[in-house]
Amino acid sequence: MKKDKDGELDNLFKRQLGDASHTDTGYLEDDWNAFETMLDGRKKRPVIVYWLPILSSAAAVLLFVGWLLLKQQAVPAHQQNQQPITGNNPVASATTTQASQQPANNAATASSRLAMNQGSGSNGGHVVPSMRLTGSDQRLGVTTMHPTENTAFGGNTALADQRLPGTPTSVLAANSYHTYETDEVRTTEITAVKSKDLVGNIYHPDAITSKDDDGKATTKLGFVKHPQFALTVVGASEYNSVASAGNAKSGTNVGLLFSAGVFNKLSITTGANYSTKPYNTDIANYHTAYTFKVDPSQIEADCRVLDIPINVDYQLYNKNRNKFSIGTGLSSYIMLHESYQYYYTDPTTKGPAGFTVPGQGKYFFGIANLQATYTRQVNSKFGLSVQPYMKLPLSNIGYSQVRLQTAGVAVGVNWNINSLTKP
Amino acid sequence: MSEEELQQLIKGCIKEDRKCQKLLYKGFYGFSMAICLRYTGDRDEAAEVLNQGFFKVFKNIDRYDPDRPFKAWLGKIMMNVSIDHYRANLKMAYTEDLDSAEGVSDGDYSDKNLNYNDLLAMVQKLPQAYRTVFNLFAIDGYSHDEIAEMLNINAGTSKSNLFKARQKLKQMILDADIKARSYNGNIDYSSTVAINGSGLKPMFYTNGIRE
Repeated sequence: MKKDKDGELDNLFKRQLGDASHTDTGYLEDDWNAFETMLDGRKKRPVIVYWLPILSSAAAVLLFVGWLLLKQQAVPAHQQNQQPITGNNPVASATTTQASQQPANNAATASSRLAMNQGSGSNGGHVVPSMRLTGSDQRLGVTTMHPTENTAFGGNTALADQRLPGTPTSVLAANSYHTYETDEVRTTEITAVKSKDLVGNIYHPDAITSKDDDGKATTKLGFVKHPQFALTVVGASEYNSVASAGNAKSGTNVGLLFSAGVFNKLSITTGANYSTKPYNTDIANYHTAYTFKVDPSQIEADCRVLDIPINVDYQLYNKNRNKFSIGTGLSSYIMLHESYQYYYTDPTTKGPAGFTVPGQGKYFFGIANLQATYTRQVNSKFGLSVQPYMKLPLSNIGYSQVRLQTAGVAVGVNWNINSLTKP
Repeated sequence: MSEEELQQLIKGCIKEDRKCQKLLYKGFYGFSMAICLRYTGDRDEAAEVLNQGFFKVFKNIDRYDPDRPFKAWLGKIMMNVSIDHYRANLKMAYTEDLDSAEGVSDGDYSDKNLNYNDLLAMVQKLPQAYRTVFNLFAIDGYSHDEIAEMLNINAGTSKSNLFKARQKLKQMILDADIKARSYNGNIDYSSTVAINGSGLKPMFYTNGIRE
């Protein structure tokens, strides 16, 4: 009896609900639209997932190809090293007198410089000892720049007055800023400069011929985040080089960046990055007022830079917590530290061994940034990013006025601060 | 929709022709929605399950055997997706109020004037665990053993859930019957109270002023 009643109940529902195709359930176009989105998502997803590694690979290949192209454009360093300074040094070439008097290995010129330095010995009683021109077992001389304030130096005029006949002013000036050392004899400090004009002439020799030639910076990475507002802490490993990839040296940087969504898929990023940028270069790409007697075969630079980027990123893909964007922008550069070490083919060569640049050069919007960013959203607040990037010089930067290019990969942690901005 | 048209649509769907997909979706929307509605709690949830079902249909439509009825194949997919949906919400299903069923007296259900919407509303009111078992057993005709396997529960649990589902449905039917009767005037619940005004003293209105 009980079973019959249960069966009756079941049948009641089965009759009505079992075949309800006759009932009007009311087709809704919205349901189809939602379904169509689902279908499109299914179609696109494998494609995008398939393309993500390809896009990343393409970005890496582009970076590599760009690097190779730049490498090909570079003149081999050893060829340049064999040429006289006059052919390589823009300052020297700018002055015919100087050019004619400064073959790289011209001992006579060296002597005259020495004599000149001694002649200008009124600079605080500093003595410029003669430098050994020979000595097979002697290490190359070390020259360091001492940007101390030397009141004994009267400035350009005094210097010029004291030079020996036939000694170019630039040589005198350059010498006056270098200290010569050897293993055996720690030589002199000639120098000093407080006078802005003198500093300008010597530290920025190009200004003599082209005052408008502002050096501009290289850079660091700009990191991008896509939410409306985001903070990103980034760290990167990168390679820096001047003209030739063969001379690339690795550097690092860390930074804090702020991103703001501008339009639907566009965001702007700015911030500050502290970057160490060591690089190698040859004399062909190294510009200085100082004329080497013998060109260094290699110059090692160690720069510390504060990079302030402004980048725009366009979001190509944003689904399932994965975001992919490409971007470009400009970086401004504040040089916090610059030092250079000179190395010679012949270790017995007498010549300056190093130079430290005082002060901070500022180079605004001197670097073009290119980057591709992949972001994996961990949760609504935080995401992890990987960003291969490339920084191409738009102008020369630094004391040495080099065209420094950088390529690297940055990783970062993004913090979406949207919620904090809500009223 | 004729069988020939249906086969043409299916061929188009195999080629992922969007127009054919939409025509098939639209053509079997009612049939599929009816299944999803009785396995879910409301229309929104049903639409979600329905789309998941059609997604599976289009994804696997090349496996469809044209010799078999399409509706049966489609219905089976919709039911399976509904069960998947139940499994996905299993935790929630068992945190629902699965109160012990009270004894409800059996009545004669054949004379109840309950239409599709009434019965659907009742099924949808059931806790998901009860609803699923009731659907599978009472409407789709599966045995408790099959249901136990499908839902990964014991056959005893299936029986228990069915029993409780029935009890709840009976109660709902009883409630609906009472309500219907009240509208039909079979029971006079009039709250109108007749008052004989002759017994009222004037002082009540005048508050004793005339006195």
